[in-house]
Amino acid sequence: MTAVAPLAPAGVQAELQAPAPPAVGPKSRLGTLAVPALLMFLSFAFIPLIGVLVLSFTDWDGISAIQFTGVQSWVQVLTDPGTWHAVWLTFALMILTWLVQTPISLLLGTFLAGQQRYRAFLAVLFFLPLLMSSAAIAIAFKSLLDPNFGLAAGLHLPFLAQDWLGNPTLAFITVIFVIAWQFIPFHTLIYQGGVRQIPEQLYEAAQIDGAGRVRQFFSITLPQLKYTIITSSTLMLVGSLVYFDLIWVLTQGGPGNATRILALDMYIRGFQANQMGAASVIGVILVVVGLVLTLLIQRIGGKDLRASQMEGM
Amino acid sequence: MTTTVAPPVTAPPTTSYARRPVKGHRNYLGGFFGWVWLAIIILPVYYVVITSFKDQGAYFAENPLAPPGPPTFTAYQEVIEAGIGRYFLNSVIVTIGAVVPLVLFSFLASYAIVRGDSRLLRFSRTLFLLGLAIPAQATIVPLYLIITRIQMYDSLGALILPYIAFGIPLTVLILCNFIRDVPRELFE
Amino acid sequence: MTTPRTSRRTFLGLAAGSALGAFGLSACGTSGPAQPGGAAQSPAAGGGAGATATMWALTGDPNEGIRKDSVDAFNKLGKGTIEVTFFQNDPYKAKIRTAVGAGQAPTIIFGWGGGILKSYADAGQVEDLTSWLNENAAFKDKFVPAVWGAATINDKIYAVPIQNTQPIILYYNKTVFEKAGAQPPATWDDVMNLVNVFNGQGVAPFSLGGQSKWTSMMWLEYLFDRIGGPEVFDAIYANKPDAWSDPAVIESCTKVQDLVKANGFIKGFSSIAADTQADQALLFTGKAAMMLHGGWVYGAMKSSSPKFVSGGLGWANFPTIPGGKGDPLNTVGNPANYFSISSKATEEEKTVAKTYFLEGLFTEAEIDAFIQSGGVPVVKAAEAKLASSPDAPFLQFVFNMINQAPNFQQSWDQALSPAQAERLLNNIDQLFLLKITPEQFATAMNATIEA
Repeated sequence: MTAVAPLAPAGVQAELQAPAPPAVGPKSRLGTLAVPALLMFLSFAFIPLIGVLVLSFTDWDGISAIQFTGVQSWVQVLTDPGTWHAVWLTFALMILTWLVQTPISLLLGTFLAGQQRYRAFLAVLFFLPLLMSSAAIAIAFKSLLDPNFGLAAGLHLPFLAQDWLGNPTLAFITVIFVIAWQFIPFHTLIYQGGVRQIPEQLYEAAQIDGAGRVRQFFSITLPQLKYTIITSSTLMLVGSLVYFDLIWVLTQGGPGNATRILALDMYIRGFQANQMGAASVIGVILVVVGLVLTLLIQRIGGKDLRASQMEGM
Repeated sequence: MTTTVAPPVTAPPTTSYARRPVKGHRNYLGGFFGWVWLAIIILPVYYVVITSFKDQGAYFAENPLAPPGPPTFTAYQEVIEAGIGRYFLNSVIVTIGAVVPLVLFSFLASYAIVRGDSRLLRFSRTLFLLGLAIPAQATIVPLYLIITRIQMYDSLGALILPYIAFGIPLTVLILCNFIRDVPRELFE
Repeated sequence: MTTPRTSRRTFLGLAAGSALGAFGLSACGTSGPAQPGGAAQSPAAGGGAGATATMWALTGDPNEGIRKDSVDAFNKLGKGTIEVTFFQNDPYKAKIRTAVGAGQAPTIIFGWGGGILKSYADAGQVEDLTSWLNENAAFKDKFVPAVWGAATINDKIYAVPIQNTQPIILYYNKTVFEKAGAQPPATWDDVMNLVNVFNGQGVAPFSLGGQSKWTSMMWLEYLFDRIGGPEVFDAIYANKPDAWSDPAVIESCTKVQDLVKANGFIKGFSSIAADTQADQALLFTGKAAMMLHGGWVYGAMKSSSPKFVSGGLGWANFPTIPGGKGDPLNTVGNPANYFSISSKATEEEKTVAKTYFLEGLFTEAEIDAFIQSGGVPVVKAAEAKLASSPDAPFLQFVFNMINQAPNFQQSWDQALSPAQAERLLNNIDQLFLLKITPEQFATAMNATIEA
C-alpha cells in the first residue's frame, strides 16, 4: 500500500532473472553500478534488521544503557495474551481489508476504464483521497465520526450517532472503512490501467457471441486481470501488515485493545512503556510474517507467468 | 511510510484500448454506484474545507456540515504563523532528496542486474527480493540508534536515508521489468 | 533515434552528485517546528552573554502565550537567549523521551515530575539542583511548599516548579442544573441520583474524554482516596506486593462501573479525546451537566466560550463517599509543571537556564498573566493578587484547595514508571469499557508491581 505500483506481471523470480549474457562488454564491471544501491540498502535497511534481532535479546528503556538479557523479552512477549490478540487482529485486518477493497476497486477500475467523458472527470475526483496524508484523513474522520459533534449531528440522522470509534467492535470496522476510503482509489488506478490493456477484440468477439456485460466481466475481464490482481493483492496484504499512521491517530489502539494490531503493539511497547526489547521482539515477528507472506503470494501467483496472455491474438 | 504515487506508465498496447461497447443500453447501475462512491469521497474533503474557515468556538455550536456562518481566516493565520511554510519546505526537501537518489541508484542497480552477471549482482538481486518483505516500521529502533550515533538526529537526512533504503527493492523490481523489455539488439 | 548518448561516467557522476545534494539539503533544513514569534530566534537581539539555551514546552493557550512572552522578556535582558519550541501534549511525551535518550534533549525540559523525572535522574540526564537551590534560598522560598514533592527524588531536587497548580475539579453547567432544579452533588449518592435526573432530561450527566484514558484515571484517583485514604496509592507507589488488592481498589472500580452502567457518562465517551477539547465543548454547549477535569480547562474554556465561563460555569470539590476513610479535603492532580535542566547541555547553556529561572521565571508580569488567564501560579506571591482578578472566586477556590489539602496526590501516570503507567492506563480503559471486572483489574495491576 505504500509504494509505486508495478503494472507488469508480478512473478518476481522470473523478473530479475538475468537473460542470456549479452555479447558485449565485461559483465563483471557492471557490478560497480549496483554498489550505491547495495550500500544504501545494507546500511539503512538490512543492518537495522539485524539490529532488531539483536535488540530482541536485550532489555532497554531508551535512555539508560542497553542490557543483554537473553530470551527474557521473548518469553515476556510470547506469553502475553495481548501479543496473540494483536496477531489475531492483524490477520483479521489483512483479510478484511482485502475482502473489502479488492471487489470495490475492481468494479470501480473497470467502470472508469470506459471511454465516456464524464468517467475521466470522475476518475480525477476519485483520486482525491490519495492526495491527503494518513494523519490528515484520520483527523478528519475522527471529527466526522464524533457521535456528538460529527456527521450524525450534521445530517440529523440519529442512526449515524453510533459510538463509531468507542465501541470495540465498531471501532475495528470503522478502521477498515477508513483505510478502504484511503486506498481504494490507489487500487482502482491499478485496475483501471490493467483493464485498459485488455484488447478490445476479446470484448467484440464475446459480444458477437451474445455475452452480456456481466458475463463479459467474469469471463474476460477477471481472467485477463489475473496478474494485476496479484500485484494489487501483494501490495495490499503486505501493506496492511505494517499499517500504522492512520490507525494510531484514529484510535491509538483502543478502545481497550480493539485495534491494537502488531505495528501499534510494537510502538506502544517501545515508546510508551519504554520496553525496547519487547518492541523488538514484535518487530522480528513482523519481519518473519512479512517474509512468509510475500513468499506465499509469489508461490500461489507466479507459477505460470511465462504463459503469455496474448496467445492466439 | 508513504511514497508519492506516480501515475502508472502503461506500455503501448499492441491493440486498441479496451472499451465498453458503445452499442447497447447504458450502464445505469454502474453509473449510480459511481456517483454514490463520489459522494463518499467528496464528503470528508468538503468537511475539511469548510471547517478550515470556521472559528474554534463556533465550530462546536454550529452544524458541522453547514458552511461557516461568517467565514473566518483565523485558522489559516494561525497555521501560517506556526510555520507551515517551513514544514512544507521540509516536505519538498525530503521528497526530492529521497526520490532523486532512489531512482538513480535503483536504475543503476537494475541495469546492472539485468545486463550483467557476477556474484555480486546475483547477491544483490536476492537481497532486494527479500527486501520487499521487510516492513520499515519493524526496524525503527535500530534505525534510531544508527541515526543518533552518526549524529544525524533531528535532521531531514534522518528521514531521507531510510526512505531511499526502503524504496530500493520495489523500485529495482519495477525498473528491472522495463529494462528487460528493451530489445537486446539496441545494446548490440 | 536521436537520443543523446550518455556515458556511464555521466551517470555515476549524477548519482554521486545527487547523493551529496541530498545530504547537503538535509543538513540545511532543520526538522524541528518553526519557532513561533520573532524575538526568540535571533541570538543577536540581546547582545551580552551570547549563549543560547533551548527550551521545549506545550502548545495550548493561555500557557503557550504566557511562556512566549516570558521568554521574549528575558531575551531582552541581555543575559543570554532562550529559544522555545512548543509541542502538543501527547506527542510531546514520546518526543522528549526520545530526545533525552538520543542525548539531544533541550537545555530546559518541561515535565510533570514523578516517575519520569526519576527515570531521567537515574540515567543521569538531568541536573541535580539541590545545592544551587540552597545557594539561592530566596528563589526557593518563592514557591508554595507543597509543590516540591514531585520534583524531589531520593531527597534531591531535580526540577523547578512552573506554571499553575492543577488540581482536579468537578465542573458543572449552572444553566443545566437550574433547568433541572438540582444542586451540585455533595455525596456519592447525590451523584447517582443526579445521573437519573439528567438522563431523564436528555442531558449527559458527565462529560468524559475517555480516549485519552488519563481523564478516566482521575475518577479512580479520587475514589481510591475518598474510600481508602492516600495510603492505598502510597502502597502501590512503594511497589508493595498485591497493593492493588486493597478492598478500596475493588470498591472504587465497582463504583465506577456502576456509574458507567447507569449511563453516567456521555455517549461515545471512549472515542472522545481530551486533546481536541471536545469534552470541554460538551460542557459549555450544555450537552453534559458536569465534568471532572483539571484546573487548566478553566482557562481553555475561557478562550473558547468566555460567556459560559463568566456566567454559567460552576465548580466544586469531588463528592464524599459515605463510610470513606479519606479526608474530604484531599486533592489529586498535578501539583505543578516542572522545568529540569539537561545534564548534557554545555556549561554556558546551563548558566543561561539558571539565569532564566532566577530572573525570567515568575516575574510580576508572568504571575499576573497566569492569574488573568484563570490559573493559580505556584508561588506564594500569587495569593495576594487573586482577589483582584476577574476570576477571583474560581482562583481563590483553587488556591484554598491546594493550601488546605492535607494530601495532594500526583497524577498516577506521572508518578509511576512509564511501563507501569502504560499498563495502568490500558487497564483503566478496559475497566471503563466494562471489559474487565474490578477483580481482574486488580490482578492485572498487581502483575505490574516491580519487585
